[in-house]
Amino acid sequence: MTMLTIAKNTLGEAMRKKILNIFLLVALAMIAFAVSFASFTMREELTIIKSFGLGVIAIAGMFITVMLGVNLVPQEVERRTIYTILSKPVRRWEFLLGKFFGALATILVNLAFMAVVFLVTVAWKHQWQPEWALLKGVLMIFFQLFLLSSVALVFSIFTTPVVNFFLTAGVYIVGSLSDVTLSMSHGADKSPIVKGFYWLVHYLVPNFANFFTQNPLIHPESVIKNELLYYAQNIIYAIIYASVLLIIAILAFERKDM
Amino acid sequence: MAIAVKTEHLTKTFQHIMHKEPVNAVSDLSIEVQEGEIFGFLGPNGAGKTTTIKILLGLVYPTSGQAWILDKPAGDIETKRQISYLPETPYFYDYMSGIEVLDFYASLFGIDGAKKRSRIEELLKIVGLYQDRHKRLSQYSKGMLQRIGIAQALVNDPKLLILDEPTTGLDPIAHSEIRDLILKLRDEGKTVFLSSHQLSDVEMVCNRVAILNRGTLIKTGSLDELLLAGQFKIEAENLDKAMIEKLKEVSTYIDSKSNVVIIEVADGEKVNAVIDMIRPTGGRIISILPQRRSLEDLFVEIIREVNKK
Amino acid sequence: MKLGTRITLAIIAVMLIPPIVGLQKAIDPARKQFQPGRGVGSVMTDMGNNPVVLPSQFVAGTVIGLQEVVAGLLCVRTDEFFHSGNYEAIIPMVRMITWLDPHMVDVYSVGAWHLDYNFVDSGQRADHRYVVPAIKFLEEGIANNPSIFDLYFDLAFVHYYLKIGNFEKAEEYMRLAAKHNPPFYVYREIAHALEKQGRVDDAIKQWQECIKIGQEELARNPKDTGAVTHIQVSKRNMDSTLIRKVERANLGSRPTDMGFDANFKRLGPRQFLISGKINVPDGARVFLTLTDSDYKEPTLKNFSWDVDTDATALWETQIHGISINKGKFHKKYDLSKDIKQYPFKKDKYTLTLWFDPRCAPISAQDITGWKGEGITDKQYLDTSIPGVKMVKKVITLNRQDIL
Repeated sequence: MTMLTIAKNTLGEAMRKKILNIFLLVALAMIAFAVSFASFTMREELTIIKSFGLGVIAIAGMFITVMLGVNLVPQEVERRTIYTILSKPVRRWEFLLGKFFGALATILVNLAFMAVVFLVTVAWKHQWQPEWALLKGVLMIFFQLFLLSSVALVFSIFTTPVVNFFLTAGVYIVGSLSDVTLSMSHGADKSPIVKGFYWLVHYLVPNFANFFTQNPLIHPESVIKNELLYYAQNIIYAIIYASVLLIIAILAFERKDM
Repeated sequence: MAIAVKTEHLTKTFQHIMHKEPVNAVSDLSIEVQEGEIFGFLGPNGAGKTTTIKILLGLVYPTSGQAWILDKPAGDIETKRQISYLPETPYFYDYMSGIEVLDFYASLFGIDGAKKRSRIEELLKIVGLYQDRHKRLSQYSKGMLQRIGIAQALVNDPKLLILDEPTTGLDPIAHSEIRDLILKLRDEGKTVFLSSHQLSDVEMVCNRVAILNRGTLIKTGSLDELLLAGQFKIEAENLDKAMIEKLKEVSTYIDSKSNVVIIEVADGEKVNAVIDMIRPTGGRIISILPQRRSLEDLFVEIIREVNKK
Repeated sequence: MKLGTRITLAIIAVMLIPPIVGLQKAIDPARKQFQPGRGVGSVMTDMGNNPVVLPSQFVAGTVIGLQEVVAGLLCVRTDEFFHSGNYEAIIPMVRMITWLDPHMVDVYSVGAWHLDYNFVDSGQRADHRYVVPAIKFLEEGIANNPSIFDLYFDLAFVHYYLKIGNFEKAEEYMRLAAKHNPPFYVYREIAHALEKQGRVDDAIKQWQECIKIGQEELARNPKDTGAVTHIQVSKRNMDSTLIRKVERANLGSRPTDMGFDANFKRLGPRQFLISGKINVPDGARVFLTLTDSDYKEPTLKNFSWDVDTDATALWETQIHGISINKGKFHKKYDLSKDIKQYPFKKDKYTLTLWFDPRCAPISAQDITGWKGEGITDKQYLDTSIPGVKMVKKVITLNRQDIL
């Protein structure tokens, strides 16, 4: 299937990209470095290692996703490799989705590397008892980045990589402020226009904040109700939202002059 | 004869947000390419050649007019199985080796398994890159890159090849190898659409050409038609001075230094006039040869003329 | 792509928008569980009378959901302060950390410990004005972490039992701790708290309960050496309590005269000598408080580390009481170096000196009884607490008596 061929190719190329590998190495180093915080009780140390580790994975993952996403299609156009591909029996949407899934695979591989180092570090500090529950946090990060990469992809059809970087980063930041946008959309002391504006922002901008589930993983004694439901809702949210964005990207790309 | 490529009143206008004036990249272009011929597509930079090719490949959508490839509308997916494209100074994924690149493109055609492996081997040998097949493309010279480009254009054994400047940056030997390859393709019954600046190449291999300038078609026709547009060279002897003087009036050039006089005339009518003048006086016509202009001369003349307007 | 297909896709995209909104509506209320900390906006608001601003380099972290990481980084910083002895700086940090991540149990614990124990004067006496803030801080920690035993027990033992000497409150919180899968020692400390209140029979029952719990655990898990130790210790303690019960049975019928008296003598500006006598064995202590005559414990609704800087409260109880040596006690006080902790701004002061048998060591209680059953005094016997007999002397002082 042509989509698979393009996806595999995208993965192979991305894994060789120097800058992405640098992000990965830095992340791995930081996770390991978290271990050097000594002079705490074991519980405190574990808490810090876990929060650091998840934080590093989230940030590094975000950078890798944005760097990948903004360049995914523009690079092929700039280097003219896209012409040799689209002149073959490859439908435009097959090309686009192939690139997208290749990028996703890259993100997954990077996350997996970081997750392994993270789990081993935590286990080492925990008398070699692995905390598999931490993978839930990585799972949420993955779906968050799945959604983020589709944002970057859709913007890349319309703008240059530099503008796109800031646009996508901006969407990420606004999407992380879900609590703020939600509270601003309520309240008797605000005008309907302001409330309406924040209502739109809250529900239409992808809510990346939904996916930050670190706290109960860092503090396993916390009591969470309906955890499975929450995870399921988030995964479905990511898939549906990304689908909408991918449809927009496909439609825009379909009639674009190359 | 079946038609491989056809355009009818093809027009493409680009409207950039930044520029106030819309750019007419291609205006009212109507051309035809017969199956089995090598068609030359010429024009200075910015003439609209690349845009036309992109429209043919479905990479760009025309503003008006239509284009067909192998009787199907341009951009049709299934048709792309039977055509191929070599872009100008192509770039490929340079982390891949020669064999990996061809593997990638072959997969896009759905060719796989043993058939893919043997086809790739065959292609590498045809373009002379078999011994370099495991080297990364980042280590290939320009000529080698061009050759791998040709290989990927042959992967699907296409009926129609669209080649954009296939000999740019090649040394003379590689140059002539490409020319031979193109001729061989024609012998195999393939159609070649060749867009090139290398007028000597075009002159050597093409059957018909189209000349574009600023998006408009200036001239099209077979090379013989265009280049043999009129001039003749007549060699005659036994001419006396009076005759030579008379002949100066109807000729564009006379060389009477030796016994054999060379007379150049502008068109076929003048040939007849010269013959009628020489024969009655006992002069002997040795030869009448149609003068073939070089394509370069024709090209330069046409472009100059158009730019004057 | 055919026009029809494109239109279909566009319609699908539009139809997926309501489910997106619907899902978000369902997710919003549940999100708080996963992000209990407070983000950017709230940290800037008033915390007590001293709003604390989150340093700018940390703001970015809270924006993109890295509150726990920022909290962790601040922990490291706090540790640096601790090692350099900068206790003043620790409290705002501790406040910030628990705002960002209310599940940082150890930070609540350590913060309360700093407040209650480490704001000391030149004589290593803790500033009493921070006791109520310490308790409030732990109460907040308990409210945010109600399903684990840790902070209940911390409040009960480190503060009520050891520092404050309020054994009823200690027992109350220990029992709350016991509801949440505690380690064995929690059950044992309940017994100690009961005995400290003089409820000897209840203490013995509790020791039996301890043994029973240990045995149940051992039945479930025969290799549990902790359970074995717990049973042994509980048995030993129960036996000791039983013996004490027998030995102290008749103290009430032949009480000992305390012969208690105490004196205040000014030695210089903010310097004085406390001396006195009491008929109690070595090892016991006489407690002292010197406060404004109108001093009241602050009533805080929520945690705030603001203290009334005009209030004076010198507090020497528990292990900081004045030690008794051969029936006599005396101690010199020089508060001239600690004007911030003891401002002495008011006109009148109350100096209270007392001996509380409930807080006394075992050797003293063998004579006084758990609740003072075996004591009497001609001048200063105090029976204001029902069921408890102690000796107490209250001296009123003027400002010039001290300065």
